Amino acid sequence: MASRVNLGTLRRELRISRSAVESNLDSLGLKFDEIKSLASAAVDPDGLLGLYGSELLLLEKVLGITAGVPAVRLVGELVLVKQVPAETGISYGYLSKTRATTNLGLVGIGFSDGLPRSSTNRFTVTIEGKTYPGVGRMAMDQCVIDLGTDSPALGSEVHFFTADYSLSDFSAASGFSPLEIFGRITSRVARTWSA
Amino acid sequence: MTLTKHVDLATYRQNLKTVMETMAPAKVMAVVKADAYGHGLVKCAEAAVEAGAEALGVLDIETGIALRKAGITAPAFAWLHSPESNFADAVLAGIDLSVSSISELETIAKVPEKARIHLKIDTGLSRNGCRVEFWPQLVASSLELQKAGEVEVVAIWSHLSGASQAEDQKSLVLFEDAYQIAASLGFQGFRHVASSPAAFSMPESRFEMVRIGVAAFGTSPIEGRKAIEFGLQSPMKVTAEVIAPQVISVGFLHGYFSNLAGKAKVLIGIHEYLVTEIGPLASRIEAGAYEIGDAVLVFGDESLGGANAESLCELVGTVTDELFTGLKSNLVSYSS
Repeated sequence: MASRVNLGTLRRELRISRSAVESNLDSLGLKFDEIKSLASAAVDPDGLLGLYGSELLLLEKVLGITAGVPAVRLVGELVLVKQVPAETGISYGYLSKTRATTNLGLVGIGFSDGLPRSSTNRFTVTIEGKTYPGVGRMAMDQCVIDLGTDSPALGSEVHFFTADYSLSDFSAASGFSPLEIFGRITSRVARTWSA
Repeated sequence: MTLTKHVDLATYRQNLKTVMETMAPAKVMAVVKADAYGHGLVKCAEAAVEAGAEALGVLDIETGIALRKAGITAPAFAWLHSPESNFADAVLAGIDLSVSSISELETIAKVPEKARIHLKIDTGLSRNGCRVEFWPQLVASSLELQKAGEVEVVAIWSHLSGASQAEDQKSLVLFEDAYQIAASLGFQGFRHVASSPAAFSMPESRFEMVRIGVAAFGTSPIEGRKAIEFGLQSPMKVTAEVIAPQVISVGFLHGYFSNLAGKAKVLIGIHEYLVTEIGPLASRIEAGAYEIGDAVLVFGDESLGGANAESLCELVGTVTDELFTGLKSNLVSYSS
């Protein structure tokens, strides 16, 4: 598990793993010191706008966006869990309905943070390493996950871009390239480094 | 090589005034979440107050506090909280807070100052909001805390699903029931349920206040109709420039959806050109009678000709909120 940074606010965090970056750099024969300006750009919401094409290609490799070890996680927060009966409509347009009594989790992150809106009903997330499906419309600031019979603690970290449903899966579902999704992550998402 | 976002605050104010006239006697809460849908939080919040909006919808406490730091003192309402959220600071800053559960109520009632709260009932969306079966208890506990001087219950509220007119009618019935229960327990505050779509299509959903976000940014509140039919214009236009033969300075890292390639057109002078390829920071367009340095309208108000936010989003099956909030420009230029 990556170390948890207490933001003291609603958690919306883009977390880059230093060890994954180091591993990608190893395969490229590069040292972290040699990509310092690139690393700064990666954690600046507008940083990518100042890069050249060749730097963007290198960044994709360093962050494991298209190949290599994935170094990027988007982390949201579980803000509510509630039990609902079968046949309950979920989120805008009721694009999903529950089949049985279940616990729905509300996650405080949405398409205005950079998650593709077209990932509605397609993605999965993990909480404490366990996978849960996203259900219903990916909304502007929130999305809903189906927790089944589980009831994780409020405030739990909700991880996006995981091994089960990666940045590339979001890309396939949305028609946006992985770099595009990474680049769309907005300024209200805190950028952090983890071990 | 720049991409510029131009935001005309006068248009935003005018849109809000138009909405206020339509909604009266219901009051308008101007929703300025997500950096005012990418239009600039503080500038738009100031403009909304100047236009006469009753309150500002800020989504979260952090956004409300950002407004207070900028000197904006208008009523502000936050509804998405973390257990880690700083409720004490929020209440001190005079930010109204949504409450969906007893545990949230208890946490918020504990802060030193008296919190102004809006109780949320879940009328079908299954996101925030108290389930119907727990509602009487939430209202009763809130009103008790009000008597004890710990909180002030200023409103009850909900979100509609927009699944269909019939589903929204059902939600309104649930909301009415919830209001009757609250009133019978002694609730005396106001009600707000409708955001832009319901506020325009279902006058009975307006109650005492409506929450207006995207309509004020020039997007039609009702699918299949045009913004201008409601007297709404787009406050934002986005311009790039021609930087090389057939190359313009906007790419997908600016938030210009890559799947617009082969579909979207840009306007240079009086001619439209198809965008054939969208790269990270630049895109390729059809050849034509333009020169390097020429201004390129990526999208703007319908009246300018060329693309507007809605027409672009229709090409790729999304909504303007996604375009607006994902835009990253090198420059933002405001006119007032």
